[in-house]
Amino acid sequence: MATTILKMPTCSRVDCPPESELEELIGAGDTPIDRFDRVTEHVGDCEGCQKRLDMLATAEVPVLSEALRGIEADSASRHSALWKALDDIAGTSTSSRSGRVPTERTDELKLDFLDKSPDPKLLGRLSTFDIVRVVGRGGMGVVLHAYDPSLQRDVALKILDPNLGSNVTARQRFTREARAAAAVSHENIVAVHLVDEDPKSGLPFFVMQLVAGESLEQRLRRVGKLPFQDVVRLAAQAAAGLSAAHASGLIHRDIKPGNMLLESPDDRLKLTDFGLARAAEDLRLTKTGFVSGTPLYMAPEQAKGDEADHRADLFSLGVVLYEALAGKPPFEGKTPLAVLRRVADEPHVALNKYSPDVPKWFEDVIDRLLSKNPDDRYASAAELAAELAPFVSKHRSQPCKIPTSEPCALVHPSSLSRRALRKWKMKVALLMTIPFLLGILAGAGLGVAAQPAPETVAVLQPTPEIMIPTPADEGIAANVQFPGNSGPVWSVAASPDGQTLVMGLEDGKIVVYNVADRKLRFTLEEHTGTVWGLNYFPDGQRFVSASDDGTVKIWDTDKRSSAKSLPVSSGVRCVAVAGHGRSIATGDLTGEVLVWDIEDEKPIRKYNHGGTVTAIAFDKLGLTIASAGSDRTVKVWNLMNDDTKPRFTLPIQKGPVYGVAISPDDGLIAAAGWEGIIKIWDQKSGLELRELKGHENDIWSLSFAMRGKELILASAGQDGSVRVWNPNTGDQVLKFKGHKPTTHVVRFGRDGTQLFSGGRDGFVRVWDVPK
Amino acid sequence: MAEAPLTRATLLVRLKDIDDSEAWTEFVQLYGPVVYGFARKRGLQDSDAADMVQEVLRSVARNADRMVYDPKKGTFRGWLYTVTRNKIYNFLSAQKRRPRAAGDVGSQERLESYADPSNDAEADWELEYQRRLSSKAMDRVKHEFQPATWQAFLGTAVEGRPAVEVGESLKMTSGAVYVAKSRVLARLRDEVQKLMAEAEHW
Repeated sequence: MATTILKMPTCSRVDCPPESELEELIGAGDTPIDRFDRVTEHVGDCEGCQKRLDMLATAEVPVLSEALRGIEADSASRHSALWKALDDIAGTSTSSRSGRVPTERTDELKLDFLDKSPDPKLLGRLSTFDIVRVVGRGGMGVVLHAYDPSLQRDVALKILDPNLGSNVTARQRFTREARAAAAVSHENIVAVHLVDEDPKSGLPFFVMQLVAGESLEQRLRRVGKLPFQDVVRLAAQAAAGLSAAHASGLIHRDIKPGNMLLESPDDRLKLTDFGLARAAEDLRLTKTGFVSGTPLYMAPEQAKGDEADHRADLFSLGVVLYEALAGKPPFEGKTPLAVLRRVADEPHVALNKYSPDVPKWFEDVIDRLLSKNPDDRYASAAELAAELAPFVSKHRSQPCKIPTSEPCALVHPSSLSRRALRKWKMKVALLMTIPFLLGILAGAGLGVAAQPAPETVAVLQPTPEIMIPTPADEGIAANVQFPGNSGPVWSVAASPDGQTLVMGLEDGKIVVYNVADRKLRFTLEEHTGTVWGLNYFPDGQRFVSASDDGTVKIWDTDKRSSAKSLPVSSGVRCVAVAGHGRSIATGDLTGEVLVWDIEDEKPIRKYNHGGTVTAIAFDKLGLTIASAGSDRTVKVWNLMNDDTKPRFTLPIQKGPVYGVAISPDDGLIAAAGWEGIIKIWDQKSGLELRELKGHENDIWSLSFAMRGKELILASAGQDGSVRVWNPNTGDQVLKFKGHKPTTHVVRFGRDGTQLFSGGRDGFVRVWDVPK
Repeated sequence: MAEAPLTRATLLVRLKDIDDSEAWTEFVQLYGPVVYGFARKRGLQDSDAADMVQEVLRSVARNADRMVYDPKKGTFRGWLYTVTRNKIYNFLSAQKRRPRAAGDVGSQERLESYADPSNDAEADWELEYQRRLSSKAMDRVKHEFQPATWQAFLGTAVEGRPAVEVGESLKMTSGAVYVAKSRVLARLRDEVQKLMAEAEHW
């Protein structure tokens, strides 16, 4: 460290400006620097004055210059063990670090409800999830970072605090609130994938999206306060998320910076822990008779213990926005009681006292949110979202979405061609505007074709890659493979004539190819979540898609926008089309099975499967459906009567079931999943006939086909292979070289003479199935 | 994040409050990297330095309720420095007694240089501490400046590149680069002083 006393350098030139002028220059904040300014110009040439500037700027903290030099390169690298160490130690529970027992929580967190994992790096297993580490512990539950081997993704798993496990009310509340939250699907709400119960301990848990980033609480602690534009954007996103939740009758009741996550890389806001506050609070009340926790963000009606509705969330949001701009919350006090009193009775200090730069209109928005009387606030989050929308869209810079996986360096379109595509789209838009204007000016009939010519796109098209034959033990190689170019493929469907191939991708895109000439026809981008299911209608003209975004869409093969969109509310995991083409069946993340009439666009049957419904199938006549789920069962439903109970439930499996299919001759049901074994039942009696063994790991997808009089069954799974079986004898007939590492979906096409598979590698492969 | 309204006590007092995990996180985030940077300068490998961070901070946690803040006995930071220095010394001596691998011939040397008082360890410690504060201050003030101003500052003060070169890429005269740099420096200085004042209470 520099400890010598530093002496101000003397001027080296006669025309050096006095110190006061330099100070003025430094102290002017970030006002524009006039390049012709005499002093600035002088500083550029005069070494002495450059040093003087530095010293004036760092006076009183002379070590600053030295501390800053190389500060970013010098700090620990991203992969340093330091970060994990800091995480570990920051997460050390207060009780374990002091060795004392805290007053309220008399319990150490014991993870003995976890099963042992063969991998010593893991904490253990819960149900079918690998538990990586403990993320945190809240009022009611423990949050674990988990890995879902079936979907091969990291997730957050929240399990009811084991110490509350014996409390029946707690269990019911936890499950109920989690189910309610799972029913809401919105980009500003952390998605709940699954609500389930650990079969061993009986503890309820739910599985959520693991959000990469930090909470607003962490952000504010790190940077103090946020710039105005960021706060407006967050406000609009929070309002959008809240309005989706409120529309489903779900009130958060505990909006605070800790429950608002900022997802990397563009800081998209995601609300989490809906309804759990209420559940936890009820519990604490019954336990101790008083409410604890921070009252900083509570609405006055909550503080007074009155009935609170959705407008309480708006007040809390106002508190958060105020704090983000001012760097401190609007109501503070030395004790929780003092805070409660201020929240209930005292007006807040005007925001412009702390943040004079915030425009008046936004201060008014916050003041209105912070109204003591709910009637004086916005009537709904939707109203607030609408008010903020014009401002946000004007200022928002759309971050460029970078594809998560690049399946093949040879064929993936470079970012340049993506940019080119966007440019091209803009040009088309322009072209379309010009004839329109001309049309107005010169009257109708100028006849300039403005439709984008498909040939133009061809330049950007990836060419399908021709496969090179591989050694026999890996199975038969595909004839051709089609790239999706946008991450893992989760669903595939082919038109009955085998001419058109559609594939559903993890990022919500649906890619449509001509099979014969291997031309990419177009990409449909209406879905905002993974496309889990695709199926053609028997007419060969339409197909249906099911997405994690909570919608089911029906498309015309030749059109670029959907013909129909059915709202299912929670993420739709699978879809099937009846043989007569008039109805479809969907299964979703909350365990609900719906059968829809396509004309009316309404559900005609509603069943509760439980868990997450992972696969669904119709029988030939559309009278029966079979659903499979994470609850480890296959259920068969009779559509002919109003019964809401399954006709039968096929015996419980050891793990979740991922694929189910009914044979075209209506004789058999096949199901497979976590166990890696295909089980065949008699469709009428529900009797188990045989097991097909061969896959080395989880099986993901099943498809039946009739080839002439011969029934064949295809399967695919985590070992990557695609296999074809004779389900009546149990023999494996063919083995294909599938996808690495996992094949997600397999479908027969063209009466069983063609086989399509899609996988994690981002491709769809096509085989001719030999006799 | 604003201070919790429930208490205005100093961090040390807050650390003793076993339920105040916010204070603990704040503490870990400030001092963890200081201990790490210091340990690396003493020649510890990444993972050893990370272990050292855990060991030092855990010992604070264990002793928090026995610690009494007495300004006469020096600052908390000074106390932490002593703890860290001793632990690193022990680590290096243990390493010397049991060389872990044939390639690890440097530990003897490191230990010797460590014991050498002319090697200004305390200055290194202070510098690491200043770096932490500076880094935190940078996070806080960055949004107050135009991107070009900030880049001019980064290029010169942090990366140590010549003002002319930095100016060329930003289309600024070198005079303007110097002015921009000094403005950010002045703002950082104020923020660092504020952080120091906050931290001195600890």
